[in-house]
Amino acid sequence: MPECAPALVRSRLGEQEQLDREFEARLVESSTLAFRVAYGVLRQRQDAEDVAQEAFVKAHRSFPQLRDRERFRAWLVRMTWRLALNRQRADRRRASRELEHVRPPTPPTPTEVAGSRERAALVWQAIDALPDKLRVVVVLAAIEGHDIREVAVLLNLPQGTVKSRLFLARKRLYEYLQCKITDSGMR
Amino acid sequence: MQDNRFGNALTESAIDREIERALAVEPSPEFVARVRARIASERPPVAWRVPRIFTVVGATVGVVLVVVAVSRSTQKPGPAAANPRPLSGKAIGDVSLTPMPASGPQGAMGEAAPPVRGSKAVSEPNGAARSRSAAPPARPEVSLPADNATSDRARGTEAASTPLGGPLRVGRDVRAPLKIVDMKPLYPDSARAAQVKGVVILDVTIAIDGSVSNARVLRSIPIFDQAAIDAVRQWKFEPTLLNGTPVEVEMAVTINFVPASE
Repeated sequence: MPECAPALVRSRLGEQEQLDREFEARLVESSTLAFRVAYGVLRQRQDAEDVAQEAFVKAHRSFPQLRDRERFRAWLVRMTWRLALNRQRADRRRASRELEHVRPPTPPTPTEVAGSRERAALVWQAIDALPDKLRVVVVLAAIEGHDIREVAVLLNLPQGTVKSRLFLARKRLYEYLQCKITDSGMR
Repeated sequence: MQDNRFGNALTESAIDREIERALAVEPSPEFVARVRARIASERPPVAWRVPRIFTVVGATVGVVLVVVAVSRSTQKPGPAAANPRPLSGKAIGDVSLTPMPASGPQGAMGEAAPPVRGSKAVSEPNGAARSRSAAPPARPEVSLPADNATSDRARGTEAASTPLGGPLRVGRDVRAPLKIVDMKPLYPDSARAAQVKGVVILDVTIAIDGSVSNARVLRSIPIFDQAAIDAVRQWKFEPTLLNGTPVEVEMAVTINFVPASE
């Protein structure tokens, strides 16, 4: 009986080491994905890294309780997305408090929107204008060439739902950009 | 012509390409190492990890004990409302602060109370404060000027509910102290080189002389923690006054580390 306790500790240590190895493999494999998901919301490298790091820390805490380890990526993506949205909302609240009296940025003129940076900015504006449900689908579909089935797995949604959301999101993006381009052309 | 920004035409595939290009960013090379370090810094030792079930059972037992204790303490005073109870052995929830009239102890404290400045009256659950003549006060003494104490009691301020002796938490009726000496944190060279930025949140205790007596990291970025603590330790505040007396307070402060170039 007295040997039971050390044996138990040894077995738990072994269990912990195995969990650590498993988590390490997933960390290496999914770090870019988590970062890009956060970047898709925040568009600040450092903020995105902070959020992705936070997501990994949370994931590590709950990793032993994750029953289906194959769903780690999906779990991580959803958690990162939520954390990034929370961070974005908090940042916006803080910015609106701090910059209450600062003049809003002027919309770009036709000459300003002529470069690739402006083009990217326009696309981001259009993505930001999407509701969260549509935005996450667009962002995930654009990361690592995920197809509809993979996005559906990551978001734990039926494929049909993802398909219709992606269709709707693209339609809205198209309309938004068309509208912006027409506006800037008329000015 | 405008559509040239998206190739020859504003098509869905052009938009998709643009989004893919915008999202083709890589995390910094040290990102994974930072995550590893962060995880390692907060991992508890395995041997001490309590199984989840014990935690849940322990918490449940604790809640039940608290509920039983509270229900017993609220049942007791019913029939005995007419008789004063001794001070010792009662729940802290029964205690309220009573103003001391400036002229003397006779008014609120009753005829039998000894003229001890700052003695505490105990209010019954029905709200009536009654004098205590039998037992000496068993808890720390509190005295408040009559005008402030009355208004404080009416508002149900933190002062009445905060355990005496410890710092008061800033919030609700306790206002944040005014900073009079500020010190910007030093941006570590290593962080500057790596273009690292972020927010460190500290929980600071401000002593009655307005200096920062304690600082503890709530939200950590290891590379910035020490710089944040060093800076905050040099801050000075105007002491927070409670009824005219400086008190120790604690509050959270946010330090934002941004490279000078931004």
